[in-house]
Amino acid sequence: MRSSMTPMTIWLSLFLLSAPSPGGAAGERDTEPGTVVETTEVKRAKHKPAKHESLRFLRDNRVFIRAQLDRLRLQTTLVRTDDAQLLDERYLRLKEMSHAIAAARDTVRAGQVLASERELLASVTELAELEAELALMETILADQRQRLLLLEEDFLGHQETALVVIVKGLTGKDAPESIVFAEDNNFVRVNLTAEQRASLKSGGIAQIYHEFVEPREHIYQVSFSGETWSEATALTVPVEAVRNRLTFLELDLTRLDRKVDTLGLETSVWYR
Amino acid sequence: MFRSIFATAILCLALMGAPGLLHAGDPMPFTARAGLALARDAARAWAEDARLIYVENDEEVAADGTAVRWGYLFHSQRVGQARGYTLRGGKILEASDLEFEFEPPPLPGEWIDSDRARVVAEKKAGQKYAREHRGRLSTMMLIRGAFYEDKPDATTWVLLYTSSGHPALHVVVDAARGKVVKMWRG
Repeated sequence: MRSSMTPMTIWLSLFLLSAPSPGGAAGERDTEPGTVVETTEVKRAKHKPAKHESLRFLRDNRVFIRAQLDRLRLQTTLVRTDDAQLLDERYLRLKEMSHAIAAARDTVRAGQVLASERELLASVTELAELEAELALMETILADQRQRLLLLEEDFLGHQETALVVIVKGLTGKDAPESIVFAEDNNFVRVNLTAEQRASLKSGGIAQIYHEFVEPREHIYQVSFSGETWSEATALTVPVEAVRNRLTFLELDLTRLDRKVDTLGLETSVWYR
Repeated sequence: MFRSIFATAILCLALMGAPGLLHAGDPMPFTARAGLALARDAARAWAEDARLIYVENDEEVAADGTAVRWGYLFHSQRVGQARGYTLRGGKILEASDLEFEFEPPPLPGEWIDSDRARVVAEKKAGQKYAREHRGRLSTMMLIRGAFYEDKPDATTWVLLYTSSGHPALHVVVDAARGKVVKMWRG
């Protein structure tokens, strides 16, 4: 076995490994822009000392408590029950609304067919018919508005704590390729799409992030990366995420100056 | 005249130093369960499968079983980690991942609150211990499986009374039935 690995074999292996594979170019072409590529980098976790001491007894006696827990055996039992459960009345209402929308759509379609067939009003009677049709359309619109209000009320009534990050103020400038939000040992890199970057360059606003967050004060280290952006510079952005509300964080880069330490980043926060 | 001024000053100093007295702007003390909903909301934002595994007072427990700050610990199978939240004044003061592995059985939804657990423990032994040894309640914790060998499935409040120069008193309260099930000194 050892004799088979002659220097020639090794050199040949290295040559083959370093040579581009025939399918390599095709493989690269197959990679679609915008696909998520996951990489893993190993870093030592930074344990920031807590500002407020918590769970003191557990920390002091963890060896004893864990030893006690090691003696346990967990037995999980799944029991299938046939008990009937009450349906959420909102689901029933949604079904009714869906039927009403379908009926309204049919009515509108029938009205459209009728209108396309009618080239000229032949009599005063037809004018009255037209008025009646318009009144019907208004009723349908009012019903639709009512349904939207019900849906919005239902949605807002069940809002969970979430953070939405908006970026603006890059008119005529190259937008960063990605924005990194770091908090303790958690890093979230948001890659800006070509459309978002183009929109920002032409003076638009881009929503780049929308996720559930813990209802507390978050202190993010925000950094930018890209061809003309320094990834090393991280800015501290505190955000108080209010429970069961949407927290909007706007990053305004209008006064951006990469020569200044603070980068001229302006932030504003509002809630909904 | 001098005596009355002196007495008033002593009384003021005593009141300032007395624990449990609220001053303007102090956060309101609350029971362990009162902070649970907020802590659970936060934990579910961290991990959808987060389950409560442990509760402990982070500040001194008052005579009525309330504390200004409580700590809540959740565990997520998906994340493979435990995360703690310390709550004060209706807000999450700090959130942090637990720096060691700890995964007791998850706590069920039904457990008596800290105020009731304290009353039960005080009646049984806590009051007597505190009176005889000038002791105090230093820790209240809610955990399942670790302190009650006879019934490891039970969720228990464990109340730890300490006194300088005397062995500590542990009182274990069954958190479902509200009864003291075990006590020991040491």
